[in-house]
Amino acid sequence: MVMASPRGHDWAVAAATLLALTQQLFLTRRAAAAEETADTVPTRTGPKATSSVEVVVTGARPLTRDTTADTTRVSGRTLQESPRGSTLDALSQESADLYVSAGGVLHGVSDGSTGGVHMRGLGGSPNSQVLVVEDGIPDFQGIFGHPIPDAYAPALIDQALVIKGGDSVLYGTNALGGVIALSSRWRTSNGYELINDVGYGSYATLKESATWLSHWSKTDLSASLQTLSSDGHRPGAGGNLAVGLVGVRYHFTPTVSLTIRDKYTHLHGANPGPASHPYLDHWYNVSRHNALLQFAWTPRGSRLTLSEFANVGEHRLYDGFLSTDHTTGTLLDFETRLHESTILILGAASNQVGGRVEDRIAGTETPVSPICDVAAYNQLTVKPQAPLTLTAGTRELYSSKYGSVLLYKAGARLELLSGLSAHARITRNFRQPTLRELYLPFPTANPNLRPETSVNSDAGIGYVSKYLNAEATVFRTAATDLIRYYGVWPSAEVVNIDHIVINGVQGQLMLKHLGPVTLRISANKQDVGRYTRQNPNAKVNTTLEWNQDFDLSSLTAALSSEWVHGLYMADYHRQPMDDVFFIDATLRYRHFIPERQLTLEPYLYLRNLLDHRYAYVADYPMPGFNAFAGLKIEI
Amino acid sequence: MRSSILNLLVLTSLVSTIACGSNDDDKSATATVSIKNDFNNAEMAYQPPWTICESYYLGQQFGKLGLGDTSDAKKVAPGLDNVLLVAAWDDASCSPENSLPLASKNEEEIVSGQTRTIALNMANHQGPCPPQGVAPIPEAQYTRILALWPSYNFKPYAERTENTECTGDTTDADAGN
Repeated sequence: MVMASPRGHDWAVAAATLLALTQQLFLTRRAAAAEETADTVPTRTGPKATSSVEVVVTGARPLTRDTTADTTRVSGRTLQESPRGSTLDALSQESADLYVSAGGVLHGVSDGSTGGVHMRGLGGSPNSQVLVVEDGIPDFQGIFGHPIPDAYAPALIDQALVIKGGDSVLYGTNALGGVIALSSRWRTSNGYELINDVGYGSYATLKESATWLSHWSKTDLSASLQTLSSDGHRPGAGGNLAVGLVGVRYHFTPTVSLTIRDKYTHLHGANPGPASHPYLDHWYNVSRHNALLQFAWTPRGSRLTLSEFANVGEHRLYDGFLSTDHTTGTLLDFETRLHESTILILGAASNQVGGRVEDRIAGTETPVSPICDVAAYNQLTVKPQAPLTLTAGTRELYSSKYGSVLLYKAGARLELLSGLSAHARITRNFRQPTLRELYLPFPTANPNLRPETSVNSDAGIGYVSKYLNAEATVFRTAATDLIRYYGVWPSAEVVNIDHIVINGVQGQLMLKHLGPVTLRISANKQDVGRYTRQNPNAKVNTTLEWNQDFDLSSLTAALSSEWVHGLYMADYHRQPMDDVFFIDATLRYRHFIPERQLTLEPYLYLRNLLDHRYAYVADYPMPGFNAFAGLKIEI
Repeated sequence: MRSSILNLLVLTSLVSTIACGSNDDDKSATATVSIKNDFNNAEMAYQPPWTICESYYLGQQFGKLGLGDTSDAKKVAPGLDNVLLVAAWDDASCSPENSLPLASKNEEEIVSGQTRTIALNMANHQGPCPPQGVAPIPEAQYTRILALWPSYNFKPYAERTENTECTGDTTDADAGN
């Protein structure tokens, strides 16, 4: 945590600020409407609007379709300018109840991989209990059920929404503990943007990102290619990553459009092994396509989308493992404003996961049966009184393997005073077993497994003003039929068992517009019970940012830190680990050249500034002090 | 004013619903466990001929188990512990001179309502003799075994490798413990 030691003058300023805040809270009832636009993404050519403070404490102003949910929105620009190694790491920096086990340069897949995600006590490594959604489409690997943590290149992300407590009513399976919803960026006014970002740093890390966005007449085009290569911070930890995305949107009329998008990810790396027993040849090779075809009709007050999606991939490992998998589906979603105070969402979804697994060395194949499900869902949002919003929804899912599953949610939101609000929500979520858990002997399987379910609830209070955003939420996660592995090969078993309850409290505080300085603190404390493996008790993320605007340029300096406490490598508080703590520094200068309509943006990341020795995974040490410098050019 | 009170009531009732959920840590919960002598598991590269003479897990004794045998199921309090054993090398009569204190390699877990069979085999055991590919048994578990079954007269932990089965004529025992 980074805190400046205030001098006497600063204390006076702080006291005056506090007094002003108190007056604003209790004496004035001015609407904080101006804040509605304070956190929007700055225009690319507006150097005066380049503060990267674009994290929203949404306890008071949620942006999700369920306004009673506890969410944190993070802009794409914040993700792009984060010193953290990946998009998920950068999100974790902005929301302390999202824990992501960071790796070195790459997260990777299979044994030794990082990028495990936990939210409010649920998740995993690899994670299949926190769902990642891209443009409304669930994104998970067909056989193992987890996302690929390295696959989320920030260049084309418009914004990310962290939905705490999950929402299987709207998003279906795997949204057990939370949802990370990513939306892609499109240009909406005529013209084009070309952004190139190239950087080089420690461990021979070379990163290049080229992005094209255009909007002409009836056609939008977005394309991005990001490549990364690195030797890694220790032998065997290097690798290569390429993420390419192409999307075309054609507007037949102002209200009818068709979008075609494909994202290709290629990842090659290796598990370096524990530092005490390093591996030399535990490589992996992953190729994946995420394709989307989406029809949208947006008449006045309504929106209808029909989406077809396919997530197809191939994974090869050093030990002969070869899998090809797919997650495919159809999503029909209709949202309409029935009345000035009533919004209805109706939807239908079908989903199929399947694949094949073989041992290239032995020439054997393990049979895998696909799982299909269809679902119908609804959500009704009503404002019976001006300050009160009520939301309720259900999802009836029918699985080819498990029969019908009923999911539900209900929430309320109350605007108490100007800028002050309270919210509460309860939601029942589920996760279907992965094909690995059902069929693959790694180390064992059980075709009779049932879905996991959770009933998550939270209640919180939030306040938004010109200088202060604050939010505190208490939450309760109750999960049943958890899928757990017991024993070791050849007598291991995987079964549905147990019921856990996780209680916790999470809060965020943002002090802003205090001259050039902004401070963001996000903290989470929870009791995870006996399932302590990679599921920490406490986490605090802090960002202190100084931003100075000039006529055609701006300068930003930031210090960000993460502290993770109560981290274990095994359940029942066994194999405790030292706390994670590090500080990263960012320096970014942005200069706009109006005659060329060009923005130059050199930047420097100094990571782990204190050269602290720490690890998220035991015996997998994180990099010491390292640096990365780059230049971003926007035309 | 009335509507504000109504709104607060709605929110309060939802919060109450959330807060009133019961905690799952039922102290009276039980689980059901069996112990299996799996040392003859054919999938393993080696099958040490251990007869389990005594077995204990989470406060319950499961008794003697020949190769391939599974004990009767017993109720235990959910928790986490090693399975503690006395096992005799290639001796179904369990003579003390052929016996050694062993324990499961894993801390075995069982949760409320679970029915589970814990298998003891080549991969899942640890013992006191000089290492032959088997993990050494920690002092805490060794000492607990001595306290549970003093009649076997095992040596103290510091002298654990001097137990008869470790040092005696039956040298092939080293390969399995």
